[in-house]
Amino acid sequence: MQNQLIELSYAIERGKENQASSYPPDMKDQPGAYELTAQLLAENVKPDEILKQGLMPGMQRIGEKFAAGSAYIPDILISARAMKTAMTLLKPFFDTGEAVLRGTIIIGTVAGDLHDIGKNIVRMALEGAGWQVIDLGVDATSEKFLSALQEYPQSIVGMSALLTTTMMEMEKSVALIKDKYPHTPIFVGGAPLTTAFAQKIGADGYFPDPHSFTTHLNNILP
Amino acid sequence: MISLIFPKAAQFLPDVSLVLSEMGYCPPHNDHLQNLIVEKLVETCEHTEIKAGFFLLPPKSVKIDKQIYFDDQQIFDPGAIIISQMAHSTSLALLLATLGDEFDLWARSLAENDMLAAYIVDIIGSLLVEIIIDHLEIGIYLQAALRGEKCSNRFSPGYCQWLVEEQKQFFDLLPPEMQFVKLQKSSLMLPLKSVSAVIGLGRNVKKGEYHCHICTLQNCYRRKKTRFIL
Ligand code: B1M
Repeated sequence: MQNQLIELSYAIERGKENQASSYPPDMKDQPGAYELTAQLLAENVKPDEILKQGLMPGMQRIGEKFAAGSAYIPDILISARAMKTAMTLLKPFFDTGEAVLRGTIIIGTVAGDLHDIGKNIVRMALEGAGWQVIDLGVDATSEKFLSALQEYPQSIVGMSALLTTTMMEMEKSVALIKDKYPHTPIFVGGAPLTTAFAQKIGADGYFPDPHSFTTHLNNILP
Repeated sequence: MISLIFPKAAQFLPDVSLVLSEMGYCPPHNDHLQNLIVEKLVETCEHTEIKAGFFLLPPKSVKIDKQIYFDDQQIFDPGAIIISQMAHSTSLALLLATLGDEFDLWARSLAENDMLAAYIVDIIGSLLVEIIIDHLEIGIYLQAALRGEKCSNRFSPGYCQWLVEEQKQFFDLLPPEMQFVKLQKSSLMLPLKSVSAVIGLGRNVKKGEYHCHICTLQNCYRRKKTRFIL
């Protein structure tokens, strides 16, 4: 079983979605993340174990390669796609509560800002790291963040912005959230932001890319 | 003077290696990604309605001091870096280009099921609109040469120390023919894949060095890339 989990994590790292997928070419006709997950489930391996010892290590390794400069965003997305395919088999267990994800993160691009590619990439990386993501989309007002928190009070919040004007919206949202949910960790990201800005507005951290963000979350909530 | 173009995307598409390099890749490239990029480049042609143009303010209508003045009214305050690069300009060219709404809709719909395709398309869109603006720039050099003038580098509201809020003044100066992009309260332009820029013109304008070092963005991935190449 250990070998199969290692094989699964390798399939994720390389982005081998299923047996039929032609990518990566050197793994042609080999079982992909889908078949390996199905096989593990058939052998009664717990969905939690498949997630934490098969899928997540694969995503972690591609993230490390990204941080080291030997992989790029497309490689993360290809791995995340393989992970997503495998997760379709595990989803029923998470839905019934038989298995649990790492936690919940509410993310959104702040009010006035309609950029979503960066936020979407972050969402994929978070899902790959085993988080349930509640995506508020673009133009997410403080009210939207607050009502999502009402529904998922134990969540972490992540905000994204691409312009200096819209990053000012974060200040408002952070203040309102911290007022009502003082213990909710709030993290921010996006091109014009800095650590100093995050500190100034009372956020709990700034991250320049998805990998640094997921790594930090893994460290605070292993 | 106004000059407008409505080109087909096929005329200006970035090549595959430029798309890969914008994503961070150096050769050797992987075929899978290259094929996807080619596919999306072709599809881009069906999802764009490019509108672009420039507007030249009359000769001698502009003065550069600590700010930029047009007909003796202060119009822009782009900060010391850009002001020094625009020194001696006596006119301005206002440039605007967009890929159109359909491109945004397409990119957004791809993101629902295929983030890799959405990311590739996002990069293609960013490069394409920049190539179109580069093309406009060449037209402006020609116009300047005809007037016996030289050009500064191109600067966009929001870059260097220039506040993105000054997009408002930029749009106020545009003639009705160039109102094909909508400016939001947050200074965001819609469609998203749009660029606005200015170029200074004048007999004594000197084109300064323009590299990453004049930009104030701390965590830019493009800066990292430049460092890598150096
Ligand atoms: C919660 O935790 C987290 C953690 C990490 C998080 C996170 C949340 N959210 C994001 N992240 C992080 O992870 C993501 C994945 O890696 C990343 O998300 P991003 O969304 O940042 O990354 C995308 C996947 C790829 N990145 C991008 O698409 C942006 C790259 C840069 C170079 C850039 C590009 C390509 C473009 N632009 Co321009 N552009 C810049 C950018 C500078 C930079 N180096 O980032 C920026 C954003 N742009 C800027 C400007 C000014 C502008 N741009 C404009 C236009 C354009 C292009 C069209 C040419 C193009 C596409 C824009 C787009 N996004 O569609 C204009 C605005 C367009 C509009 N619609 O209003 C215009 C206003 C210029 C003009 N006057 O025309 C600057 C904004 C500064 C400001 N003052 O607000 C800018 C920072 C450049 C700079 N050097 O200053 C990370 O930030």
